[in-house]
Amino acid sequence: MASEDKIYARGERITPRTITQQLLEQYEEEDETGQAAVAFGRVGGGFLGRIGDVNSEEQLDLVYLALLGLLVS
Amino acid sequence: MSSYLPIILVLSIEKETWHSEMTGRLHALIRSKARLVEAETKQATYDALATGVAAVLVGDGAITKRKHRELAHALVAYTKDGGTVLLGCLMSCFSAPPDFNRMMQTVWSLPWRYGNYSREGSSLNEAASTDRTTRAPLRKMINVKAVI
Repeated sequence: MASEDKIYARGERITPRTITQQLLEQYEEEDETGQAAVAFGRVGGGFLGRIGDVNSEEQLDLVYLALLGLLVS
Repeated sequence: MSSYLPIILVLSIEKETWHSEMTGRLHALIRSKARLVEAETKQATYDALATGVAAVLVGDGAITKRKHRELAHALVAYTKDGGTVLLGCLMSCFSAPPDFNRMMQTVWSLPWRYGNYSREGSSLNEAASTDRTTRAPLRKMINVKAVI
């Protein structure tokens, strides 16, 4: 999964600098930590997102609204 | 003040009566921001997509199954045409990993795969490609039980 498609990723802090480093390390095999609880990426002219939680936890409510485009002013 | 509300289509193809206990709070929150239309059949989904919706929330694992492949392809077409599809709610509970992986590979052509199942802390990606999250007041850290 591309770094920029991860919305919440475990155990790693992703910054623009992180992505630059990954581009420089283009020959590196995909790292096994590249998993995300929440992902959102472009498909054609639109977007596909995935929220992987299994308990419908309240802390993700705003994430749902954001990814559905309901927090855009 | 405009009375316009965007339409959010929620797919509940394999809905059970107890599902509302899991999704009720989120659906109420969505209704505070949008008009929520719930589709429990393929035809209702196609009809809603034809009328135009702001986004689709896939609420269970139905579209990962071969028998609903046509529906999954319709969602891909909707997305490629500019729509937003969000896989969430009960999908991670009720989709088999092989089915999910096959759908992501053959229908969506994305390298997204079923990952570990655990409760872990996850950090907000400050460099995500979408401003839907980078500009929203979201928690910097979450700790949820999830398939990642």
